[in-house]
Amino acid sequence: MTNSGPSDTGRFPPEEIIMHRIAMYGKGGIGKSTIASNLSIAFHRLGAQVMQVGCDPKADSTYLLTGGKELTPILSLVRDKGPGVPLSLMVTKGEEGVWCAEAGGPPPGMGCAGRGIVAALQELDKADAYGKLSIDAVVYDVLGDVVCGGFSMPIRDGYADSVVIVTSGERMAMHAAKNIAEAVDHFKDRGYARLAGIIVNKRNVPDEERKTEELAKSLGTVILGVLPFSRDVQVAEEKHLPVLSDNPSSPVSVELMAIARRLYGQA
Amino acid sequence: MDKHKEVMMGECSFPSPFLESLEYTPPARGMWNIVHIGMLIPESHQVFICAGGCLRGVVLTAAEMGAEDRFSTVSVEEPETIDGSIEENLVNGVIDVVDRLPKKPKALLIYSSCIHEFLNVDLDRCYTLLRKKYPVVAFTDCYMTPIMRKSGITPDEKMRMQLYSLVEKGEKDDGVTFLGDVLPLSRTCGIVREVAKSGRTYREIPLTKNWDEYQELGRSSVFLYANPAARKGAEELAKRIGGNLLYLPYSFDPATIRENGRKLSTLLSVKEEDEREWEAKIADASHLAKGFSVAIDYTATARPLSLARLLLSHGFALKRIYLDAFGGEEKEDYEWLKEHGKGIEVIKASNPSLPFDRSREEQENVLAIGQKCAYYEHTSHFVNLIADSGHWGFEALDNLAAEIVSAVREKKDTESIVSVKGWGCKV
Repeated sequence: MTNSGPSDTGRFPPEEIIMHRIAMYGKGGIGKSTIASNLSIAFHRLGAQVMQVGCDPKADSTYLLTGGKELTPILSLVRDKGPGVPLSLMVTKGEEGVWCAEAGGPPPGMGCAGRGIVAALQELDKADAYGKLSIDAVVYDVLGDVVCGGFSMPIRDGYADSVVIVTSGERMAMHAAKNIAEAVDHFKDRGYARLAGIIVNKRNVPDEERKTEELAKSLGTVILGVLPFSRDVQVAEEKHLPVLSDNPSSPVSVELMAIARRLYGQA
Repeated sequence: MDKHKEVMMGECSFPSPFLESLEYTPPARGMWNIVHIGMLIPESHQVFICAGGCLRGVVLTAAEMGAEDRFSTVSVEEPETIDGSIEENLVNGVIDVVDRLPKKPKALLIYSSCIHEFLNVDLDRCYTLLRKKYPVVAFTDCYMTPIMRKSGITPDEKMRMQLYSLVEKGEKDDGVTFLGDVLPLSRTCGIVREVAKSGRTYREIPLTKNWDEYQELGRSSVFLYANPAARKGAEELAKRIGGNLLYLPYSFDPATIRENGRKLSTLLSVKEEDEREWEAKIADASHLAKGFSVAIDYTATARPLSLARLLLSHGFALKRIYLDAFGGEEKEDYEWLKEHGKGIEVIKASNPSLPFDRSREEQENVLAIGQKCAYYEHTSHFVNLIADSGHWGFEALDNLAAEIVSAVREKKDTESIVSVKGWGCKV
C-alpha cells in the first residue's frame, strides 16, 4: 500500500507497498469473480505480489487467471491428505503471476459452506501462505452475501482490511449491497474490515448511475468506479482471459485500472 | 487378520497400523481428561459452554472429584445458533457465573465447544469483552471440540499448553520447572534428585497449592519436559518468558536414560548419578512372571514400544500391545520390535468389538500393564501405571520391576481401580 500513489510509470515504488487485502461481496452473478480477477491483475501491474482466494464452494473464482484450468480446492486437499497440506498444492501461479487459491466446500446442499471457508483460510494461515510468497495484496472473492459467521471470516481481523461491494442498478443487487453494508456496519466496533466503497457493474437499467449514487450516499460510502456494460469482457471470457489481459485498452480495462489505483490509494 | 482391530507386529505399518473405523472407549477411566488437567491451575474456575447433552461427561467428572465449586456450565440452545446471539450467550453466561461466585477466582478457564467452531464465533472479541469486565481475573481459552481432535494440535497438547498460558514472566532465579505432566514426579527420580543436588529450586504444577506458587513456575531459568504431548506448550512458555528448555523423554531404553542423565547433569553442572541396579530387579521380576503372558497398553506410558522392547528383551512373554497409533518418536523401537517381536499382537485399543472378543472369565495367568488392557484382558494381575505416573529414568525401571513383582504376587480389584476417573487427581 502506498501513501503517495503511483509514480509516472504507473507502478508503486516497492518500498511504498505494504500488505493490502480486500474482500469482495455482492449479489450472486453480479460479476464479482470477473472483477476480482481483473483487479488482481491490476494490482500486480501496480507492482504488488498478489493472491486471489476464491471463497465459494463452486471453486470457480480464479478460472480467468488460470486460463480456465480448474484448481483443486483447499478443502478437497484437506479431505484427501489430512490437515497440514503443503502450500505448493494449495496455490497455483496464474495469469501475469497472480497466485490463485480456491477454498472449495461441500457438495451443493450438503455440509456447511461457511465452516468450509473458515477451515480453508485457517489452512492457508497454517502454511504461512502470505508470508512465504511475500504477498502484498490479497483479494478474497466471497460468495454473495454475509449470510453467516463463516462468510464473515474474510473480513475479520487478520484477513481483509477493506470490503468492496459489487452491484448494478438492479433492485435485488442493490438490496444485497445494503445487506452487506449492514453486516460490515454491524461489525464496526470489532476492528473488522471497513467498507471501502462500491463498484458499479452496469447492466444498463434505467437511471442506473443515479440509483447507485443514491445507494452509496445512503450507505455513507463512495463509488469506486463504474464499469460500462461491455462486450469486451465477454469476448475475453470466451478465451478464458481477464479483459485486462485480452484487451488492455478497452474502456472497461481502463476503468478497472483506475479502480485498482483508487483502492491502493485509500489506505 | 482384521486391520480394523488387530495386526501382527511383524506385518504392521508405521505410524498408523489400523484402518479407521467405529471407535469405543472402555470404562477404564484413570487417564486425566480436560477437566482434571485444568484443575491443576490453583484458584481457578472452569466454565464449559456447550449444548446440554455434551456437558454430561464433564459435569460428572467435576462431581466425581468433588470439584463442583470450581466448575460451571453455560448451556447453548437452538435459538442462539439461529438468531446470532451465540457470542452474547458466551459472554453473558460467563458474566453470570462470575457474578454468582462467592469470591472472584484468580483465573477463569473458558471451554468453548464445537458449535462455536461451526458458527465461527469471534472468540477473541469475547475474551476482550470479558477481560475488560473483569480486569483482575486471568482468562484463558480452552476447548472441548471433539470434532477437531484429529486435525492440527490435539486437545491433549492444547490443554497442556493452556495449563501454562497464565504464567507470567517473573523475576528470574536459577530454579528448574518441570512441565507438561499431571502427576508429580517421584521424589526419588533422577530429575528431582539432580535438581536437589544442584541446590536449585524445583517446581512443577502438580505441587502448586495457590496462585502465587503457580506464578512462581515462571521464575525458573530452566524448563524440562518428558512427555511428547507437552512439547508445544513447553516451547511456547520458554519462548514467551525466556529460559533454557530441555527435552528429557520418558524411555525404558537404558542408553536413552543414560543420555538424558548426561544432558541434565551438564545443564545443572552436577556430577552424574550412579546407575541403579535396575537390571537385576527387572531380571527378578521377569523370573517371577514366568508363566504369565503379558499385555500392555498406551495409557501406561508415553513410550509403549520402548516398554515393549524392554520387556521382550528381558524375557517377559509379551503377547499383546493395545494402542490406536504409534507415537512419532517410537520409530526405532518399532523397527526393533518388527524384527524381534514379529508374533506380538498389536490390537486397536478403541475397537468396539473388543469387549465381546475377549473371554468374560477372569484370566489367571495374564499380567497387564495399563488400565485399558487390564480391563480387556479381565485380569487382576495388573500394574496401574498411568501416563508414566511420575516415574522417570532408571527410577522408572526400578518402579516397574517392583510393580510387576507386586502384581504377580497379589491380585488387585481391577474394576474398582479402573472405574475411578482421573486417577490421582485431587482438588
